Amino acid sequence: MRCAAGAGLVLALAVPFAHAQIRVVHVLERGEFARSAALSPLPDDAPWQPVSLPDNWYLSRPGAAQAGWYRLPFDLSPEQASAAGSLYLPRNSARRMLFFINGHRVGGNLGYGDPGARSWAPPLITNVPSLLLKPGRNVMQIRVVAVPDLRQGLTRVMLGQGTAGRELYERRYATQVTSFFMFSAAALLSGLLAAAFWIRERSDTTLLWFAVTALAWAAAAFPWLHVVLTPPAFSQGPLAFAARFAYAAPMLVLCLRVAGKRWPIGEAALWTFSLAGLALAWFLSEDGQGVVITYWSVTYLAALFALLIVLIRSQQHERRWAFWLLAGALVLAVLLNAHDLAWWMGWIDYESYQLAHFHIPLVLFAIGATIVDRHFRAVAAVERARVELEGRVAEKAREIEANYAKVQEAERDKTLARERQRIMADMHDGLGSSLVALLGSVQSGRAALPEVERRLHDALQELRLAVDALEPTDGDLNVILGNVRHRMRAAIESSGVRFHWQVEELPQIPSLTPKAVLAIQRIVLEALTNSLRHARATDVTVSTRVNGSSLQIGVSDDGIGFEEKGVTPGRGLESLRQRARGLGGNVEIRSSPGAGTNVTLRLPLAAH
Amino acid sequence: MAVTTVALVEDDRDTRARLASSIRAQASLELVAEYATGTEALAGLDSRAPDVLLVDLGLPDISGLEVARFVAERHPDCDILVISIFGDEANVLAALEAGARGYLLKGSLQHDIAFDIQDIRNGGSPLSPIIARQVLKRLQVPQDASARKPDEDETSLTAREGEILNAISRGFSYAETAQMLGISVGTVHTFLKRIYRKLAVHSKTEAVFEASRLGLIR
Repeated sequence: MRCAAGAGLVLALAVPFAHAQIRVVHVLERGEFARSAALSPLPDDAPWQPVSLPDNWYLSRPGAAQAGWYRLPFDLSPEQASAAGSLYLPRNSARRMLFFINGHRVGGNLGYGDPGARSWAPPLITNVPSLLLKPGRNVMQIRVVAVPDLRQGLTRVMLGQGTAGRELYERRYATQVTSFFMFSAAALLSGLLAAAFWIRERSDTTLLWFAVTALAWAAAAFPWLHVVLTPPAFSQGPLAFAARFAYAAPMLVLCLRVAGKRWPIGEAALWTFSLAGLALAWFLSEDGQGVVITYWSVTYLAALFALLIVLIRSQQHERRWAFWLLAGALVLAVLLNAHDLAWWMGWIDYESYQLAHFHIPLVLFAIGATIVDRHFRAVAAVERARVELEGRVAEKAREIEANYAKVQEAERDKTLARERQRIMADMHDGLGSSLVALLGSVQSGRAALPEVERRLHDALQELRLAVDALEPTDGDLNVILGNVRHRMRAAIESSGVRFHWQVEELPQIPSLTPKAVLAIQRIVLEALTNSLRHARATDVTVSTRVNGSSLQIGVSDDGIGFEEKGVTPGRGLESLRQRARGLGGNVEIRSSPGAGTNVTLRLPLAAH
Repeated sequence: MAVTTVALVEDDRDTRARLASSIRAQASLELVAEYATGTEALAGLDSRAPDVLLVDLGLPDISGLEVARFVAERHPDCDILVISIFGDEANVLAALEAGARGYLLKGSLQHDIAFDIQDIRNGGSPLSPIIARQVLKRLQVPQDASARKPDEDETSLTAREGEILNAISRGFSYAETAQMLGISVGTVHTFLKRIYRKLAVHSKTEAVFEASRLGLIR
C-alpha cells in the first residue's frame, strides 16, 4: 500500500516536467500589446506597446475586465511554412481568445465562463493549416478578453509542426484533466463503498465523513470536466466556493476523526470560516471572485497546516505507519496548496500546473489505508482475544479436571477408610472375639483338644465368610446364599442329615453392601450350625420365599427343639436378632421341645 | 479298589506333615512324593505324575500356578488341586485357568481332605457359587447360538453348560443340578471338565490378545 502511494506521488510530481524534451518550432514570447475591444486585428498604427509572455494581467494590467490585442511576429523557413501544425497554449487563460495568423482567423477558446476552469485550467490547442503560413515573416494576432482579478492573461504561444504541438497538449491534458477525472471516478467509488459500510455500521462516523468527502469531491469535479452542465452566471462564484467547501471541510473533520482527536474549537472555526467565505462569494460579482479565491486559498492552507500540527502533536506516543502515511499526505497537501497559492499570488511561473486538487485523492487514500488498517487490527485483536479466551477456557477445564481428580481421590480414600473400618469391626466382632474366647478357654485349661480344634475351625470359617463377603457378587442373593451352603458343605455332609435346598430364583440387589452380605450369611450360617450341631435332626431345610416387597429365608429342622421361654436369651439367638435389625429386617425363631426349630429371616427388598 | 497316588507340593513343613498324615491315614490314598519348592516339583513331575497333585499357591521360588500349568500340559490325566487358605475367587479362578480342577482349604479337618480328594477323582471338586457365577460372566453364552463363529466354540459356553453353571451359582449341589436338568451326575462332571478346558483356552487366548496388544507378539 505504501509503495502504491509513493508511486502515485512520484507520478503526480514528475509528469509536469516531462514535456521539456519535445521540440517546438517556435515559442512566441515577445511581441506587442494594444488595449482595444475591436473584433478584427488592429492595424500597424495602433498604440502597440512591447510585451513579453507569459502576461499575467493580475500583475501587468490590474483592474476591471478588459479586452486587448497581442501582435506576435515569427519567421518560418520555406519547409516550415509548407507544413501544417498547431498552436498550443499551456493554459486556457482568458475568458475569450481569438487567434489570427497573417490576418486570418484560425480559432479561439470555447469560452472561459465555467467556474471549474478556475481550479483545473486545461491547455488549449488550435490547428494551423499550412495555407495560412508563408516563408519569411508571419504575424500572429490574438484578441484577449480577461478578468485580471481572476489571474487571466496570456501564456506563451507555441507553434508546433506536425504533431509536436498536439503531443505537448496531450501531456498537459493528461495531467491537468484526465488524471483529475480518474481520481474523481475513484473517489466516487470509494465514497459509495464507504457509504455502504457506514449504513451497515452506523456507529463509525469516520466512514460517514469519508463518504461525504469523497462523494463531494467527485461531485465537485464531475460537472467541470464535462462542460455539459453550465450553471447560471450569477451563481457561479458561490457554487465554485460551495463545491470546494463541500469536500474540504468534511475532509478536515475526517482527518481529526481518524486521528482520534476531538477539537471542537478547530471544527467550529472551520465551519465559521467556510460560511463566511460562502457569504462573501454570494455578495461579490463574478469579476470580483478573485478575493473569494484568495480568501479560500489562504484559510484552507492555514487549516491544513493547523491540522498537520495538531495531528503530529496528538499522536506523539503511538505513531504507526498509518499515521506517517496520513501525515505525509497532509504535508503534500500543504505543499500542493502552497504551490497553487504562490501561483495565485503571481509569485511563480504563470504557466505552472494547477496541482492543489491532487491533494484530496492523496489524503483520501491515506485515510482509507488507515481505516483498512484499523479494521484489520480490530479483526486481529478479536482473534487474539478469542485465542486467549480459548486458552483460559482450556486452563479452567484443566483446573476442573484436576479438582475432579482430587475429589475422586478423596472419595476413594474415604471409601478405603470406610472399608478398612468395616473390616476392623468385622475382625473385632467375629474372628477377634472368637480367638480371645478360645484363648481364654485354652489358658484356663477348660477346653479339651477336640473342642479347641472345632472352635479354631469355626474361626477360620468365619474368616472365609468375611473374605467371601468382599467378592463382587453384585447383590446376587442366590450366590450369597449358595456360598453359605458351599462353605458348610463338609459340615452338612459329615453330619449325616438330609439336606433340602429349596431356594428359588431371587432378585438381585446391586446396592447390597459387603457388610449386609456378611450379615445375611452369618445369620444363615448360625441358624444352620445350630440345626446341625445341636438339634439332632434328620432333615434340615433351607428355603426362600419372595413375598411382595419382602424376602423370607427360612432354616428349619425336625430336631429336638427347645422351650422358647425356657431358654435364657443366649448369645446365639440374640446376635441373630441384632444382625437382622442391622439389616432393617427381623428374625423369627419358633421352636418347641420335640417339634423342631424354625428360624425365619425377613428382609425388606425395597430398602436395599 | 485301586489306590489313588498323590503328590504334594508345600513349602511349610508343618502343613506338609499334616497333609501327608491326612493322606496316609486313608487306605485308598498313597502319598508318592513330597516337594518343598516349585523347582523340585517341576523336576520330579517332568516325566511322570501321580493321579492327584496338591499344590500350594504361595511357594518360595515359583508360583504354584506355574507348577499347575506345567503338570496340566504334560499330564492331562493328573487331577490338580491347589491348596488355599480362603478359596477366594481370584486365586481359585487363576488356578482353574492354569489347569487345576479344584482347591483344598488349608486348615480343613482331616477327613475333609480325603473327602475333597475323593471328590476330584469322581469328577471335580465342587465349584463355589461365587466362582461359578464368575465363570459364567467370563465365558458368555452367545445370545444366538446359530450366529456363533467356529472359533468361539473353544471359548464360549453352550446353553447347557450355562444352565449347569447357573444352577451351581445358586447353591445347588451337582446331584441336585443333575436331577433338575434330567441328566446324570457323571454328565454334570463331563460338562464341568469341558467348562474348565474352555476356561484355560479362554485365558490363553486372552493372554495372546493381551500380548499382541502390548506388542510382544506380532
